[in-house]
Amino acid sequence: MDTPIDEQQLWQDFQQGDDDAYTQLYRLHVRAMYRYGLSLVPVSEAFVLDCIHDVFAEIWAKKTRLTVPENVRYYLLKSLKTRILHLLKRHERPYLFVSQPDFDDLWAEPSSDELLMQEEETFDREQLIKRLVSQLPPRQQEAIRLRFVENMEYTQIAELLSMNRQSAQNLVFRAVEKLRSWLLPSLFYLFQDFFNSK
Amino acid sequence: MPNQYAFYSAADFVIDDAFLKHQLTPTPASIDWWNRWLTENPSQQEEWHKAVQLLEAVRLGLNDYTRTYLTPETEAMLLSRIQATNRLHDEEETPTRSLWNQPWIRYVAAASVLSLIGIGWWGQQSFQRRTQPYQAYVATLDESKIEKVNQGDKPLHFQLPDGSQVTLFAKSRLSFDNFFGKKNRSVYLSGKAFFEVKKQPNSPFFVYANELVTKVLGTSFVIQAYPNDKQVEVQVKTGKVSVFTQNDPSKAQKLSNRELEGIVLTPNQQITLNRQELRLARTLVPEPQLLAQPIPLPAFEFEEAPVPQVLELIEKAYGIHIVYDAELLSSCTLTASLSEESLSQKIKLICQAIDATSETIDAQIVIYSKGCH
Repeated sequence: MDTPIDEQQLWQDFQQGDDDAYTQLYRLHVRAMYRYGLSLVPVSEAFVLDCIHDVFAEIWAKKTRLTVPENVRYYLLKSLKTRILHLLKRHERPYLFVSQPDFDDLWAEPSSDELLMQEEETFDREQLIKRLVSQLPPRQQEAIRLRFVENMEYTQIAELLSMNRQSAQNLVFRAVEKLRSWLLPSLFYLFQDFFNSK
Repeated sequence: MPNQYAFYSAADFVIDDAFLKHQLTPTPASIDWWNRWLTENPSQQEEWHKAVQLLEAVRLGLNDYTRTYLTPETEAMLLSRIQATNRLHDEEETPTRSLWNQPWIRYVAAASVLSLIGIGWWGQQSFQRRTQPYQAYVATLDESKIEKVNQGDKPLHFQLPDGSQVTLFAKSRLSFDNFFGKKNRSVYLSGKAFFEVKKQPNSPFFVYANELVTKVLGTSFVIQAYPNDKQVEVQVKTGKVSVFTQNDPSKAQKLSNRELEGIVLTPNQQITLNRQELRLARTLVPEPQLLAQPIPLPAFEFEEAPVPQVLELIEKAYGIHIVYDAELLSSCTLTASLSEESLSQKIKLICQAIDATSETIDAQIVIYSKGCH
């Protein structure tokens, strides 16, 4: 493992007005903010960049009044999502689904026939699993990105999705369980070489 | 140890905090712990290994997300955009903003009434740490920019595309973009230069020199702004110019407006910008010169002339403002020949003759007198 960077210390330095610490924090987190932002609003890169700009400009402006976050990445992702939702609401853009919990119920799951056809078409296991992930309801996708890529805890995911901790954990569980059941016929067949070769 | 995982399925493991932490960021302790657990619970080994594979599969499915690529160029551009916003914010936070928003201070600056000296305080940014403004300006111009450099000791004369004349003094540089004269008339100066600006009322001419912006309609003036100077100076020879600082909150308005506003300088006046404190002070140039007059003025030869009449003539001749009590001074007369004397000598001699004192405040000469009997 890399030597862990003391982000709390960086944050405190930045609060003292240290440009270098601020730039380092930017470099550490901007890629995660970019991918998370784009996953929420895939249609507009410029909009996501604007929002990242706003988040960093705001913490600079308020630096003396901020507390030191326990998890800097979580703090920044949370601020980014808040900013994105705020602007989307203000402009009444049509992407509001990210904040509507009921939307999951409307999400049509692929039928087993469709899945089978896809599996036959897709020889590349990575393509197959990506396609399956893309068929999960958006909130489940967001939850598993946060859990398995951004390494957020359930309480933090819950905050980001405006729900309680148990619901967040259930959301992740449902997504994982669904992927497992979809993959069941192929998982240990398709993935065997992949994992054996590692 | 008690087995909290006794009935766990693969999916249960995948969403378990301890399991995930171990898989995503293993530590020697976590490796040790899970190895012991696996040895103690052989019946669950299969489900545990399925969980490992399932997690790998999910993460593989998220590769499009994980690999969303932010180009280094975009990353760098976004950072400089953020830093620009932050600088703007830091400058706006200084206490002078409210001062400039007071109508009276603009009145003072514009109307040249007898006023106090302090004109404004802007910002207390750390002066030493900033990159030189000239480099920052030039960086905003594109490749087609034109830069005139005078490395030598002799002044360099040239003409700008709009017909304005420039004399660039030693160790000075002047840049402007290829569109000069079409889109704008802006030049960027490092060092010292004398400008004779062609009059174009609809297209003001701007000189950016260190932290100072000078706006003119048509006039001649000298700017001195070397990179390591502690101050920036603008001296006006003819016409009028207005100056403001780069971080003036109403800069945008002053740039776009066709009028001259802010601090307006007239001939024989100069403005000095203290770069450390970003404070502007207006004074008279050290050696005020007689202005060219459309109709020649009478000579400075006086016989029993009322002093207010003498002072009026001096005001006209040098284009400066003299403050005095005309009623009091109307009792004083002067007989003198002052044609050869400099402005300061003229004032000194008049004061001696009528037992008065004088002072220069904010580019104006103030005469203190008790009158004559």
